[in-house]
Amino acid sequence: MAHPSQLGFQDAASPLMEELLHFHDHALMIVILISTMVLYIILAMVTAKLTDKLVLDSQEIEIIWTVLPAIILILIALPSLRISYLMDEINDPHLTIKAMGHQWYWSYEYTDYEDLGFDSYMTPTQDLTPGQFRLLEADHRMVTPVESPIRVLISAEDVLHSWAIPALGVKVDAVPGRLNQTTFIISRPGVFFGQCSEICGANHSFMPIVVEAVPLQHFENWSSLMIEEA
Amino acid sequence: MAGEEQENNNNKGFRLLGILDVQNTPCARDAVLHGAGGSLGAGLLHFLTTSRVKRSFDVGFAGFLLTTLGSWFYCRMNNAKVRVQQRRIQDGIKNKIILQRTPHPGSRSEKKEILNRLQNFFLGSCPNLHKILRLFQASRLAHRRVTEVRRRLVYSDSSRSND
Repeated sequence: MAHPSQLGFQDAASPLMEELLHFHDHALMIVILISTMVLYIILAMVTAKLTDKLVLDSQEIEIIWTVLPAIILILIALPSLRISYLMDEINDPHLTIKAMGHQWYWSYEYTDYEDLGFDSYMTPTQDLTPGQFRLLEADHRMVTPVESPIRVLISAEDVLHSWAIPALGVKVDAVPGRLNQTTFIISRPGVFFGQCSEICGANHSFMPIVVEAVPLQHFENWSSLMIEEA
Repeated sequence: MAGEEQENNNNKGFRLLGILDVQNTPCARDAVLHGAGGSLGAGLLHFLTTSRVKRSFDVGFAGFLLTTLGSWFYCRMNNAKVRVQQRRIQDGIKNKIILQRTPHPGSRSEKKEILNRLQNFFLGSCPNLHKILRLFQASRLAHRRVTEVRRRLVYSDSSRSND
């Protein structure tokens, strides 16, 4: 999860997010260099004492400042398109989970083998135990196996919501009457937090998403337990 | 505790133009340092040869841009190669148990099968090619035999010296 006053991305927990971080660093370095160059040119022009009144045009510099930006744009566009198509790849998921947005909680359904469904409400601040995170903890977590492709089908029952988890690089709108799909693979076990990302009413900030990635054996034990309890 | 230490590190880290976290971005620190060195070198060299101050600053800055970009792309390319290798190794380790005692791509039996198939395919289209293939196979076989003999000699020598 994010630490206080964090500006950058969270550490990646999925291969897609790693690629996104990689691309972000690449694009940011290019942006930094261009900004530095512009700052330097501004400083040079402001501090210049000489002015050439007879310069009307210059073919060389016109060619340079047309061709160079085109090259830079290609250098940014190619990795961007690569990641864009990578995100849309279908990779034969092992598990399908339905995430439904309500005002103001999420419900999850695991219906591949047995009928398992539960609601996930935010843990109120007064009920938090030491070590838990304010406005991020939920009473029931969405448990998933590690290193397995997982498909999540996202929709909403009432108004627009958005299912987002920054560490996994996932953000998908939950639209009533529409089923949106996303797939991801969680690379390491852990607990990953997200928050509703589409304004949906008074408690929009109080419907977090919590995904817990566990080894397959633990996932099987958890699902058996949940089915028995239900 | 670990979170606090990480938070302190993140707060103290140098941010280029206030946005690029040089410490935590892979290759950024090396690229900026190389750029600074390149800028200093290029600017100084130009000044020493021409004694023009302003132009030397411009050359130094151009050197900074080019060196930073070059170092950045080179480092990122190497990083990408290492990441691909790392993923392959991870997959190999994960699948080791599943693939144990089954011929996997690159095993001798599969290579032999591929070679036989290639031979059968080409023999039909090019009659002289099979002679070339036979010569190639013979030379490979001869090389393998020579290597085996050498290994046995080296092993027997080392066992005699231990005795």
